Amino acid sequence: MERIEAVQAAVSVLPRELRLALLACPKGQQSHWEEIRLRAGRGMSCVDGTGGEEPVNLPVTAEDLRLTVELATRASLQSVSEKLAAGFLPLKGGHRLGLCGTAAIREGRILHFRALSSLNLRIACPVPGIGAAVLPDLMESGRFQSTLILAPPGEGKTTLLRDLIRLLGLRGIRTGLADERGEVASLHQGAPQLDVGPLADVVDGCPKGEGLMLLLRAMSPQVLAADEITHPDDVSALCQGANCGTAVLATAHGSSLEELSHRGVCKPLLEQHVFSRLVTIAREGGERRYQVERLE
Amino acid sequence: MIRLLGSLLVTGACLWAGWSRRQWYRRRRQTLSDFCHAFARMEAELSEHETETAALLSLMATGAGRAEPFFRRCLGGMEQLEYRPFSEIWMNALTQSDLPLRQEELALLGRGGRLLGRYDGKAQALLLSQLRREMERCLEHAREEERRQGKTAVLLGLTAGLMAVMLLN
Repeated sequence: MERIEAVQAAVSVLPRELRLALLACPKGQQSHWEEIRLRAGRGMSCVDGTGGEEPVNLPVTAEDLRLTVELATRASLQSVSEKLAAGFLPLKGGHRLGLCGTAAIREGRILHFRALSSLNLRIACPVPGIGAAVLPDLMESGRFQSTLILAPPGEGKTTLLRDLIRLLGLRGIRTGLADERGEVASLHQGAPQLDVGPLADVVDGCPKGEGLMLLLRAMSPQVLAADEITHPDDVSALCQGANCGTAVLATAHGSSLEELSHRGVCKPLLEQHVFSRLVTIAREGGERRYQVERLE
Repeated sequence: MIRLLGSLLVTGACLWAGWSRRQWYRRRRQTLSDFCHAFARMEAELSEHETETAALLSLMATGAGRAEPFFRRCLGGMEQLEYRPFSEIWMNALTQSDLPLRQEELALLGRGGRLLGRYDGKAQALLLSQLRREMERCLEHAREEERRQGKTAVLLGLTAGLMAVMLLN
């Protein structure tokens, strides 16, 4: 039911005709949708939990894509140009719209897309409780152990991170969350749109590295959390947090620790043994399985 | 007595027609001037603060003189974004605002709806400044026309009135 509500909220950024076509699909189908993909000149398809694409019989034009972005930005591309440089737009409710097309570049940075070729509407759907099975393995003597959640894109790292933060809050553990893209808590006028529990302090809209340092200085968190470590500043802030005795909880793209260790940016985290637990996510059929590993 | 009253009414009506034409030239010049000022303000807002389109329209809806009703309509139309593109909302606001402008000036203004909100702040400010320069050229024409044809319209009205009176008598 929650996923259907999330789907209905997410598709509100689509032009009326496309939206109605999607909402006319059976609820049973909608409840499995995780992404909606639109490709100019081709069509629209819905991606379910298995990663398979199910086409929706309706042609999509380049103008449909432009209108979607117009709706998503309330006709204000200028106010999201920073986010556009990352190739996606965060939407209210934690959903996000990925963009593809002919980019206009200035000083090496994406300014806007001259023409859009495809869009990917990722539906955020919090799954309260998914972290409950994992959390006991991440605790030791009542203390949360620094944990890295590792999985390829679209496997549910952010969903697990959000639920772990929520569960930590319920256990009375204060978390400082650097939510650069607003995907974890999705702050709207200061209030999280997605449940991150009662004790999460959230910084969003600024680079993760700066956000983490700000949290460390200003909010004295017991756990520092960040989604998707991609920049050396994120790594250095997490290392600094760990050195101050704060547990860290972070996610990274990758399918194995070995793959991650080859990536230069994350190397210091592994070399300094910042994490003592590793959670990997594997998909079996439509179900996700979480595996916790102790790191020496 | 009735003849005199009739003559006065006919002359007055023709004079009024000429006078209102002159007023139309004045309103047109003022409207173009207010749009030019509004666009200049919008350029500054866009390039300095990358202000959201709705906030931009809201700013213009209270401080743009004769262009205010247009911007108010545009702002109100933002509620319809779900059903129609912004360029259409802009065009609808233009047609509904009954601005004292020529067709080509309205067409020029209509271009604004196809550039606002589509690019980054600096690019929009640049495109808006090009549009403003074209509007300023229209404003120059409008000034010239008001100067040359405003008085002529009044004189023509008065002359037409007197001629009509003479013919009727």
